[in-house]
Amino acid sequence: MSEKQTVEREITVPMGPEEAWDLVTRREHLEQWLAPEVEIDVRDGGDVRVVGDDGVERTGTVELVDAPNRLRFTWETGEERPTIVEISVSPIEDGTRIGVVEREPIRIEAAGDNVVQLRRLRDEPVLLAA
Amino acid sequence: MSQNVGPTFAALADPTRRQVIALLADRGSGTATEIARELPVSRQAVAKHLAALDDAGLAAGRREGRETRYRLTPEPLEQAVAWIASVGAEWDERLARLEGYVKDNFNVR
Repeated sequence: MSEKQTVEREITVPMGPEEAWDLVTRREHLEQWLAPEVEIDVRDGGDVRVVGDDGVERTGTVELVDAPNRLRFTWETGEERPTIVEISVSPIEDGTRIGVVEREPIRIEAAGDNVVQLRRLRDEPVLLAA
Repeated sequence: MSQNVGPTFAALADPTRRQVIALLADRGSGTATEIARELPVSRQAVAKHLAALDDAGLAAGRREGRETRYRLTPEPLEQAVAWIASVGAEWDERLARLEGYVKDNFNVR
């Protein structure tokens, strides 16, 4: 199927972006909402380990830290394909918006004139006319 | 991304509808009565969601006596839809917890 598999959600919190950034990066906060056990080493290449209510463990790697605006990491259970989670923090009037996007990792590679190669991890490459 | 979602994904915008899809994915098939038993909404509301999913090509219904039994349409859509429904439901839960946590623990300006 051609549409990318993507889930997007957002909420608004009544606080500034610095405080909201703490909510999405500090363990004591993350363990109150993301999952009961959360270890995220918030720096490029840092390790991610999250254990959910159901006992399912996800592990991955931090791909991007742009404090206090963006945090991106991969995670996978080992049984399903890895996915990318990007959490964004943006100031708005009267508060801060926290957005979440989870999607399959798709690398875009130049593969010749007018052709872009989209390669999903563990999948066959998909060639699309650009 | 959301700016280029097609009709398929527009049909997934409603959270109850995503739950209906997740239930169809779990059960393999279901009627409005069966699905409504699992959700805090009426049989009539579920029947409308099922009809909308049918219109969007995400599910197909077949008459079975007085009811219509629906199945998700075959792969790869079935997988894609089930993935979006389950991952979406997980984030709905997490963000609802975050909202509750903020409400209970932070001084709202």
